[in-house]
Amino acid sequence: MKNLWASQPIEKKSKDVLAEMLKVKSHPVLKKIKIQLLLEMTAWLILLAVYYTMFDGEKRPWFINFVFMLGLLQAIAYNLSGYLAAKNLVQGDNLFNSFTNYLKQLKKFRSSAIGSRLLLMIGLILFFSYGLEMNSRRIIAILSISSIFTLQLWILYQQWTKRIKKLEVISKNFGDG
Amino acid sequence: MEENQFLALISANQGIIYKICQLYRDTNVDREDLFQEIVFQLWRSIDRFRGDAKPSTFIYRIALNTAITAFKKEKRAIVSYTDQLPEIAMEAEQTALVQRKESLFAAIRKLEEADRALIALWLDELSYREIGEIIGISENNVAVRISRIKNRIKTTLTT
Repeated sequence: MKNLWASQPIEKKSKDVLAEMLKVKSHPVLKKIKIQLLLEMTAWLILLAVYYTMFDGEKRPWFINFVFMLGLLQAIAYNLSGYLAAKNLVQGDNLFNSFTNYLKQLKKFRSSAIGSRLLLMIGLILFFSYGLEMNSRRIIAILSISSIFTLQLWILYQQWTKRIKKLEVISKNFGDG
Repeated sequence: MEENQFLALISANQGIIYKICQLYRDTNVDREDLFQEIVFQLWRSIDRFRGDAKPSTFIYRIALNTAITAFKKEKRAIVSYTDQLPEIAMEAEQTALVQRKESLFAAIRKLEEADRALIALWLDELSYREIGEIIGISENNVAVRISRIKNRIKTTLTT
């Protein structure tokens, strides 16, 4: 077995190709996350800059404005922290410790991802529905939007849980005798 | 560590990364992506390399860690093409060797991620102590598990 393994031919890469791999702009995953992050952050920042005048922020009470702004700002901060975490996959001095720490981090991220999205949704719904004269059509519309948001949260939770469960099995296999 | 020194280190040890990509990804595109992710993570972790272990041990640890934790795309239908035309004159012996290598890699790929890591380290002649340090388990545990994995591979190869 060892002879077969050792005789496996290797496709060598040049130092220039290896040097290119150190850059975020050529990284297969981080590059996409960075573009998505920049687009989302720009959209939230534009909304923050114009909401007060364009969407009648001044006519709403301070706490509605506060929840709305808090929702947007924490969404930006959460996106940034997610990007930084995606850069660091190695979390310990051996594989077992690294997986244990990485799993703890993923579980925290699952909670904060749900919390962050929930706060953003509450802020948006509160802000845009405040002061509206309610009739059955508007109530149905708000309930429909809330249901879509809730479904999004459920899908997000399922995605995180699936990944966590898979890593839990791998981590257990590493530690088992 | 300076970038040039780092690149020289990776260049000299890229066979380790190449083999791990072969074991943990099914398509060439995914293997290339993983190779890049491993080099990137090594560069980010290199300041934690204290020099009291062999550089190859450090590279194995980061590479295996990355291969298992990095985001993996959902499995696609795999259509594999060989990059060489079959040559009639190809020695029968050589063909048999290639087939045996492919069978070995296929048998290892069938193992759980943790077992794949253990057997890859053993096949690359790391001692039980070194394997234990990389994985985070005792030498005895390594010995028992390697023995079990070898038996499993033998069974797969003979059936």
